[in-house]
Amino acid sequence: MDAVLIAALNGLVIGLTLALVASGLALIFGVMDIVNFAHGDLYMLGGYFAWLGVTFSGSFAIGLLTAVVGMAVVGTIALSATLGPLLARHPLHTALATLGLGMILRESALRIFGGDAKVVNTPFDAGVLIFGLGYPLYRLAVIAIGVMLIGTVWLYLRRGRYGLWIRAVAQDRDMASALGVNLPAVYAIVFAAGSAMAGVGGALLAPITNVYHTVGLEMLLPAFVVVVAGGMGNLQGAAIVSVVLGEIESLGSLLIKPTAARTLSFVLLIVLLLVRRRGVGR
Amino acid sequence: VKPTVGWTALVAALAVAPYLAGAWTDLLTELLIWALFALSLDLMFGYATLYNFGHAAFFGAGAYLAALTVHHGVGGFWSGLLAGVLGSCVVGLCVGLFAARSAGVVFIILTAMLSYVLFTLAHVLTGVTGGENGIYLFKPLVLWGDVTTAAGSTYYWLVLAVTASALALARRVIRSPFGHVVVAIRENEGRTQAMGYNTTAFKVRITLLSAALAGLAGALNAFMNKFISPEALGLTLSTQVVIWVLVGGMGTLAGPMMGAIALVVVTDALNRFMGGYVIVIGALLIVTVIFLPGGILGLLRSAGQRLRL
Repeated sequence: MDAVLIAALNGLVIGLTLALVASGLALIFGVMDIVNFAHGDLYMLGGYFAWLGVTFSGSFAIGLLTAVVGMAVVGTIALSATLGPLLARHPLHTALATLGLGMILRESALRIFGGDAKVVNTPFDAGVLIFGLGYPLYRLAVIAIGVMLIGTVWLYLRRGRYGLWIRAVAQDRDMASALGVNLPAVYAIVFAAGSAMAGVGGALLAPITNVYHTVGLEMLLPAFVVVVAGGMGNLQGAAIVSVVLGEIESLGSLLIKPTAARTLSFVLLIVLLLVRRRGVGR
Repeated sequence: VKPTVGWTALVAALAVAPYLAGAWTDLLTELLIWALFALSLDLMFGYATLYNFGHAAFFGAGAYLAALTVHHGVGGFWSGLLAGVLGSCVVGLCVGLFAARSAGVVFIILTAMLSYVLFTLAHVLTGVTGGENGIYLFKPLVLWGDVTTAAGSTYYWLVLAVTASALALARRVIRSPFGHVVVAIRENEGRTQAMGYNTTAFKVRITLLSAALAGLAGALNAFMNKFISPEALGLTLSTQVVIWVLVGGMGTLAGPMMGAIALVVVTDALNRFMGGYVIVIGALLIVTVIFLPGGILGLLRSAGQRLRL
């Protein structure tokens, strides 16, 4: 029973981080029809930014902040430079361009930071006793921060000024533009927010998984799967499927190998997507 | 010059290549197999708008089935080849189901998931696939009489014959009434449906043809390397072949084959002389998408037209 509870909590940690990363992906897709194959590498860079912040300041909070701000800036620059000339093109073209961007980011990270995994120290080593079993406080903090950030983004999209504009552009780009919505500003904000969400996910998981240049590849496919299964561009659907996927993987790992558990959850999702074509979000 | 004369000259030049290439013949064989693999993806990618991002699933299925057939002594070279093609066609039926039930981004993700799932299965099912260690085929296989796969130039000629026939077949199919319907689906699926064509059936059939050719490439590759590992099924190879097709020029058949050959050579050279190729290939991909959506062949064709004027 205790093992099940611990696994369920771990599933929540994986699921909520995945939800953060996938929400960024869903936002960029929902608003701009861009399939961002570089998203996993933005996640990876977030981890490196957190490592830099923590190494130079000694504070994890600063590391987290470095990741958010750094990724908002780097992500916006990288995505606008690559995709700027391609905005009117077929989604396949933007998808392939981001595939190239991801390769460049990954190899640059390898050249800059080297091939060894960077260890980011956990901000607090303390554990909490749950039913007599110690559970790292940091993981509970990740769960709390994840819920908070996803809630904030969701609320801002509902209530904020740019949130309204973003939803308007996602619904009908030309009409929104004709009614005076500043498209380039909305695009820049979507790139910045999407990259920052990937970056903060990378920063949050950095103390758990360590940071290396291919860490993003392990996140990319699950993030896409979640976005597709959640109903393309639907943030709520993506968040729900993320948590379910995290739980299946984590609880499944009690019985079978973790990779086999992930494969099993993928097979289930393939069947789900074939049966229910619009995903679970709608 | 008619294209057919050009093609005959090219095949003739390639046929005498082993006499000049010597020890490099094996590299030429490998290049031809990659060209065949890229050709098979172009049928889906460039003609049917089926953006298969998990094409290695076919290649790896063909390779594993062929290797397993020989490894367990069920059959020799030719039955291994046949088993490989049949195996990849089974995976092709699965992708055909994806094509029937999804399109666009969902199809991209479904095919990528399939490639990932098969890759992981090959890792996990160590009893069948040997897991990470893969399967080794130690003994040379008899092709005919006393000729075996150990004879480098014979195997090269065999692969050349297969690849050239595959290209001829693909051209024939694309120019046939069947191919015209496939192209019509690419241009406007709704209208093609309205004309009474069952577009799903056409998509499934072109997927099966693509799967068969990719599985053939996989089987030929396994017999050449005498080794097969899960990477043959994985997303890295799946992405690579997409890049070859795009850089070569999608929807041209010959373009993706040139793209595969050019990029494998360039990658190899960069690896040898610069200690890494990923940044260059990534940048090449972005530049191609932005400035040359027609790929290398598109560039050559427009240059050729300009010279004639």
